[in-house]
Amino acid sequence: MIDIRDARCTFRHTSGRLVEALRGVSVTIDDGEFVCLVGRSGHGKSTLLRALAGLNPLSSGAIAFDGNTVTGPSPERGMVFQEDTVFPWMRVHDNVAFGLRSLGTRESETEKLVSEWLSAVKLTGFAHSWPKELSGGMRKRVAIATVFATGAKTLLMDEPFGSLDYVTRITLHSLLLDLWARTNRTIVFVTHDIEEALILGDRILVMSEGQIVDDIRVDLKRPRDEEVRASTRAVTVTKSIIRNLGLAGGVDETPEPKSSDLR
Amino acid sequence: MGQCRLVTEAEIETARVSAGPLARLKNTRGGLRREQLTALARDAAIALAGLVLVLLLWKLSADAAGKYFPAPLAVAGNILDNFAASRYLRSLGLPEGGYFPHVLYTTRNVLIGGAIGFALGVMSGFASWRWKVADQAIDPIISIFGTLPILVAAPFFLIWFGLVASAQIILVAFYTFMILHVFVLRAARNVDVKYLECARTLGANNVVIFRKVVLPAALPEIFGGVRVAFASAWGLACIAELLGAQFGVGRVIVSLAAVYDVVGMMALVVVLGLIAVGFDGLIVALRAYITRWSDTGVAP
Repeated sequence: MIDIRDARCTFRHTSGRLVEALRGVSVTIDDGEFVCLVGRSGHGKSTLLRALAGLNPLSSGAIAFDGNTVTGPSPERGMVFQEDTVFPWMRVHDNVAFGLRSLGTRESETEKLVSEWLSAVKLTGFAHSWPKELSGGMRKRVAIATVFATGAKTLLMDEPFGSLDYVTRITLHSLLLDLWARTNRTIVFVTHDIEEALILGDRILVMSEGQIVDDIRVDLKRPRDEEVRASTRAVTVTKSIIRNLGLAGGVDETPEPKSSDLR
Repeated sequence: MGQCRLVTEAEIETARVSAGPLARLKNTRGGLRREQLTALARDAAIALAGLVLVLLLWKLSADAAGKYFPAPLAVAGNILDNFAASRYLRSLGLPEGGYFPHVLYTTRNVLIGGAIGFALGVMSGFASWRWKVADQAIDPIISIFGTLPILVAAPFFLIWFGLVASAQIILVAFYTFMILHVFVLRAARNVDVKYLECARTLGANNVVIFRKVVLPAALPEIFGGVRVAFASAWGLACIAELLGAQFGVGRVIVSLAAVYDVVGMMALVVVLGLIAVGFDGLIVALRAYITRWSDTGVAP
C-alpha cells in the first residue's frame, strides 16, 4: 500500500522564485490498483511521481510504501520514464538484465527472467538487437520488461507513451493492461490524456496546482473500447475531470501562466 | 475498440516493425552491404580526388618556386632512397641506418607518452567528475599548464629530464594527460541524467552506475579526446626532438635543415604524416567498433 501524507515540495526556480510544486497531497493507493494521475502540464504530476520514486525529496510530509518511508530510489519502485531511457550501449537482453544483475541475481535466474519478460513483451526475437535498431514503441517495451523483470512491486510510469504514435500507444495500452492483470502489481501512471486515463485506470486522481482535486473510481467494464468510453458513466467521468482541470467552459484564450506552471 | 482488435493491432505493429529499418538489417543484409559499400566507395573517391588535387597543386607550386620547394616525385624518391639505410645521414653525423630507426623512435615515444597521458587523464577526469575536491585541486593546474605553449614548456622538460627519450615521453604524456582530462571530465558531465536516474531506480549502486552507465556513455566523447591528443602528440614529440635530442624525426630534420636539404625534410614530414594518419585511422576504426551501438558510430 502506498500512503502519501501531506506531501509538499517546494523548489527554487532558475529565475530565483520559489515554486510550490506539491501543496499538501494526501492519498492512499491500495496494492494492485491501476491509478492514473491526470492534470495539466506543470501542475505537479511528475513531481509527485518522482517523489514516489525517491528521485525528488519532499519539503515536508511523507510517502510510505507498505509502511516503509521513501528516502531514495529503490528497485521495489520501478520507473518508466517519459524520455527514452533504454541504454543504447547495451543490447536488448542486457538492458532487461540490468536491474537483475545490479541486484546480484544469479546468472541462471537472470537468463530465465529475461527470457520470460522478453517473451511477455513480444520481443523474443530481438534479444541481441541494439536499441537503435528498434522503433520507439519497441524501446518502450524493453523499458517495461526491464522494470517488470527487476521485480518492482510498484510501477511508476511518467507519460511513457506520450511520444508514440496512436496505433503504437493503443498496442502498448493493451500490452500493459495484460501484464498488469497477470502480475497484479500496483501501477501509478501519469498522463495528461483523459482518454488514456479512461482506458487504463481503476482510479483517476486529478491534479491541479499541486493538489489532488478529484479522486474518481472508474467503475467501467474492461476492455474500455469506444462503446464503453461513450457510455453515460464514462462521459460523466470525463466531464468531471475536465471541470476539475478548470476547463469546463472551454479555453477561449491563452490563459496567463501561473507560478505553478514553471518547471 | 475491443480487446480482440487490440491484439490484432499488436500483431500489426510487429508486422510494421518487421517491414521497417530493422527488417532491412535482418532480412536483406546483402542489400544494406551494397548501400554501405557504395557510400564507402563514394567517400574514398572524394578523398582520392582531394589528394590528387593537393599533389597537383604541390607539383605546380614546386615548378614555380624552384629548388627549395621540391616536387612530390622528388620527395617520394628521397623516401625510397633513405628509408631503410642512408650513408648520407651518417655523413651528417647521425647514427647508423636511414629514416626508419628515427621514425620508429619517435613513434615509440608518442605511443608510450600517449598511453601514460591517456591513463592519467582518464583517471583524473573521472576523479574530478566524481569528487568535487579532486576537481577543485586539479582544475587550476589544468587551467595554468593547459595554456603553456609547448615551446615554453619543452626547454624545462629537456633540462629536467635530459636529452633522452624520457624527456620527450614525459612531454607527450603531459600534454596528452591535459587534453584527456578535459575531454573525460566533459564527457562524464555530459552523460544524460535520465540514464543515471533510471539506473538508480533499477537498484544499481555507484560502482555499477560508473561501469555500466557513465563509462560507456562517455566513450564516444573520450575517443574524440584521444584523436585530438594523438594528433598533437606527433608534433609534440618532434618539437621536443628539434629542441634537443640525439635521435628521432625532429633530430634528423634539424640536421637536414643545417644543410638546406628541403627534400629530406619534406620526406620525413610526409613519412610522419602518413604514420599519424594511419594511427588516426586505427583509432577511428576502434571507436566505430566499440561505439557501434551509437547512431553515428563514427568519430567527430
